[in-house]
Amino acid sequence: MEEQLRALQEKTMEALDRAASTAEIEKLRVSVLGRKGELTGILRGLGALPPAERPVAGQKVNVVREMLTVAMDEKEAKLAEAEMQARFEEEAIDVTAPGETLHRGTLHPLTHVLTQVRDIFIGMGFRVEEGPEIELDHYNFELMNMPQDHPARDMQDTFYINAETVMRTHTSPVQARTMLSSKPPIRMVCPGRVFRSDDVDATHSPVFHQMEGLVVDKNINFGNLKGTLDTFIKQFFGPQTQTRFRPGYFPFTEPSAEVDATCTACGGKGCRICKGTGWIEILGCGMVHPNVLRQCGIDPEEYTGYAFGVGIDRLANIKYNITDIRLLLEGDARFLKQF
Amino acid sequence: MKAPLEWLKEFVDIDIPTQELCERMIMHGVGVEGVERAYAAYDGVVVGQLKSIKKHPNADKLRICQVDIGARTVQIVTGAPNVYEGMVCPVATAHSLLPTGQKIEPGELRGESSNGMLCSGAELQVKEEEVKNAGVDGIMDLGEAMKDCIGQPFFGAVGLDQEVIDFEISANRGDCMSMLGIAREIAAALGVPVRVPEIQVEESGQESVSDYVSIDVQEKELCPRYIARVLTDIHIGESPMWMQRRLIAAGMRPINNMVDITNYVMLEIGQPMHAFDYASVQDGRIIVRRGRPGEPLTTLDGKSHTLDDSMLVIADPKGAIGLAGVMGGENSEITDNTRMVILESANFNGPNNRHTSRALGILSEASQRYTKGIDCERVSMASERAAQLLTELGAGKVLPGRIDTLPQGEAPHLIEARPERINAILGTEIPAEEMKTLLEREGFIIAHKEKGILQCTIPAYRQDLGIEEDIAEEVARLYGYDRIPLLPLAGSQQGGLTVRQQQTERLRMLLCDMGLHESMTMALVGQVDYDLAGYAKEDPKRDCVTIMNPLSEDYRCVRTTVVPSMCKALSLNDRNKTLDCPLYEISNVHSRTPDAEGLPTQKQVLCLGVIGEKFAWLKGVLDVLCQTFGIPAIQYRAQGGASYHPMRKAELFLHGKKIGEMGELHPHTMESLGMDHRACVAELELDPLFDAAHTQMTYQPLPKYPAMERDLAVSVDRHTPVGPMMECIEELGGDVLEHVALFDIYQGAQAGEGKKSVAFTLSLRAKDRTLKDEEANVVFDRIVKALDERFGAKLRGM
Repeated sequence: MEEQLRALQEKTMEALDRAASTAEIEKLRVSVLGRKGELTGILRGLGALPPAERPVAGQKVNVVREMLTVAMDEKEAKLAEAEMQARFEEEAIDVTAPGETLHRGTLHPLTHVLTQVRDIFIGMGFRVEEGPEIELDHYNFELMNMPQDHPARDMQDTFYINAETVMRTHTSPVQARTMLSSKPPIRMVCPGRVFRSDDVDATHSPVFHQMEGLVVDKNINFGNLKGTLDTFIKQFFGPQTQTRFRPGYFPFTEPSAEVDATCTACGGKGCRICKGTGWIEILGCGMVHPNVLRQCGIDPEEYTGYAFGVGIDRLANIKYNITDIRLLLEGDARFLKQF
Repeated sequence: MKAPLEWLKEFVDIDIPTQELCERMIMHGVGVEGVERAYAAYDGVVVGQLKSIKKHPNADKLRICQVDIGARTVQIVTGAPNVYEGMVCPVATAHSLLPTGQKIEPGELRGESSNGMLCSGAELQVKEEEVKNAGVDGIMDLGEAMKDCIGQPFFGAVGLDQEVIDFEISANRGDCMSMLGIAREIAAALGVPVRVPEIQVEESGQESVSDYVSIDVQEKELCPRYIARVLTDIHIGESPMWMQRRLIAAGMRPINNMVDITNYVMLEIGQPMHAFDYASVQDGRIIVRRGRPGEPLTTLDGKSHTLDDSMLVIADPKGAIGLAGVMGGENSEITDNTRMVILESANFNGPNNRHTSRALGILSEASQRYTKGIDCERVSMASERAAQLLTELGAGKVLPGRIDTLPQGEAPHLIEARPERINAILGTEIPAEEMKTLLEREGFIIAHKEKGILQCTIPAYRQDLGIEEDIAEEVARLYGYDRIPLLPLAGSQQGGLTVRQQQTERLRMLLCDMGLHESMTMALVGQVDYDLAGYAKEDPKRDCVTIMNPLSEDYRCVRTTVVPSMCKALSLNDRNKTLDCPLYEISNVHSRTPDAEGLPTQKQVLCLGVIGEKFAWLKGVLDVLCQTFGIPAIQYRAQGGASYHPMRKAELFLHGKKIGEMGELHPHTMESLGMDHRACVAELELDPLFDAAHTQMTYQPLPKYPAMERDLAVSVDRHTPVGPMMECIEELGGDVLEHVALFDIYQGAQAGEGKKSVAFTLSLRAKDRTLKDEEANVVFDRIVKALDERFGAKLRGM
């Protein structure tokens, strides 16, 4: 039996030596150590021995089993490692090859700008109001302190639907509607499409977009207006941006101001974009005219307010360096895909 | 408003560079469009020197000069006899423009090249009193002293050119539409005094104005003041060069001395004036009245107008001789034969003036000033100034006296201002004394009243000021807007979006997630856009709200639908071969149906557009949309407008109400749009969709028991729609049918004549147990039976 055992051990070790794959080892393991394997067979043969010899003989078989198992495990681990390496080599990919083409949609540049501007004001506690694009002259002009034949009506070339109805020339009628329907304190912005009778060219369009804002409360002053708009401009264009407030004229505000920001292209040094001035005009604003407050049912002695308006198309042109605004309203995929 | 710097300096001392002046004015609230030079167009005329002169070989009277024009020497042939070597003179270089309008081009004179022209004073429209030797017959000899200027533009070198600042005058500052008005603003901005000219009129003759003229103002409201003077012994001729130059620099054309004087005074003082030929005013009777309906008048520009009673006219007993404050009539125009003149200086109501000028389409210098608002005081000053200029120019005599309908002038205008209120408006702490000093700089007279109130007497020319807030603005701009502090808003308020705004926002993002690109298109369209998109002539969508005064027919309509604009965009992208770019647009559209306020009804719609045979893809987008918002399934009915493929279009219904339509473009539509590829569009109203949205999401427990899948294939008539079959399956599947999906429609030969094979996958699952085969079979059989009964669908062997 011992002879037999030794022979099996030698044969197995040789076979193990020759084995070139984990699969061969697995086969060898089954043929030697498996239930029907040769070593198992020897173990079964122990039953023929006298009972007194069996423990010793059994122990010997177990020693061999132990030894073979360890040898097989070791070899198998080594081969498994090599096989894994081979698989890695096989599966190598070219990481510099391009990724798969995925399709994403895009938002319109005006939506990007509008959202950004709107969110800055929402952050300061402003609500968002909307209103009709075809508007009564009453809301668009009269409540804005521009009665019939007021000279300031010449500032906004107007499309008329009939004598009482216009395509709104600004989003100010939404301010009037808000004041008429809610009580101070009011803090709101009103984005939307507006219309003016301007011929279409690279810098003019009869249809464009505005966002106006209105604050009405006790003790609102011009300093608050400056603070709010300075915050807005710094958040939109970056903290390095400087602002400049200069006197202006709007019939619906008094005092009124025009607001400039340092040119985004040259940082205020003066360039082609700012026509050498270092400043670009961003918005118009002012303290709400007492006539406007009064007509909208608010006592100007008790409440004061400020209002402002900014051109969204203009901001988009500045932000994205768009030089022909006709691109904004053409639906040209080559343009839209860029945003 | 073009203001020559030299003219402004007559009224105010300016000793800072022009650029700095412009900056100061901008910060003071008077906009500057730009700075130009009056003679920039004639920079091609330079100072040159004749280096050598020789006789022309082929012409006795011509000479060939080598002329130093600074940068180089050019050859010029001249016929002038007074040239000499070393002469410094004006040279019009090749391609230059002369004030006469003549353009100098290089050429040959009898075989010798000539690259410019030596100029005389007459050719440059310069007079002897302006530049020495300008009056001589021949080339203008500028003299040795001008040698330093060789190569420089001539008009600049002789001091005739000047800077002209183009000011932007806001709609409320009619008073700044004059040199004196701007000079006042400059004076206030720089803190220096303004010089108002002293005027003295030299009257002559025995008779007086009232012997010749009567003024009858029938509309006092529309004409608060009218002053008439009578000018006699008029010699119509050219006005002096200095006056012509100022007029030209300010952008006006000199005409004759009489007209030039009225224009000059208007530019100087800001008061429009008019001169009537006395001979053409019947009985010298001037009547200021409303026009008569249908009354004709031909204005100075030769255009005929029909008037009505909303317009104010100047008339004589016969009829209208002028449109008050807008334009004079041709019938009373100054001519070369005019010997006597009625000189009008008057104030007319701004809004009425604006109305007339817009109604008749006349935008005159005069009406611009009345529209923006001017005071009654300058009426008198201007009348006197014009009379003074007339005698100074020797153009005629001034009859003693004048007729004035408001001899006492305008009462002073008072505004009470509370310094603490002004500080409250501005957010400042400016002491009352400082406010007083600032306001005095603008010409206000300030008195202290009880309770610290400042009583401000406003100069008559400031018609734009009426209330305390106006005084606040004056204080602010004089104090400096930049000195007002930046203050945060106090107190917190709830900001944010409404539910509907949030839904729209979510929709935009969702569509982007699905690979669609947001588009925006022009909200104004023309009927031609509906034509191109294949809308039938009688399609109700063509019935748009229309604009009375459109830019053109292409922009007359306020669109009722985005589809025509979307079609245009798709066609553009088709042409550009950008085919893989599905678009969406969210926009308001308008219908003529009046809303509660009587305004056209405004609705928000979503329009989708995609190139390709992608009807099902568009439906897929809408399915995801519905899933995301928890909207119940949209029903599709095979019907719709003429612009779509008759067999590939649908109307969309939600809860039985039509909410939109979709389809593949009709081949005719594709053709009219010039498209090579097919395309599909859809449009839906957003309000009913969002109204149906389930805003509250609830979690569904995950299944504990396995699902069972069964395929079901039936043979059915090929025109039987699949949608109702699926609804039938869902109805009969009951609780255990978790999901049914279509996985194939086959219409080939093996399906049989007129038949199609439709295959579904049914997913069955019970919530509380593992479903048994037998249970599934019962459901399956029930469905098969119903499909047969309702649709004639026969089960096919799988």
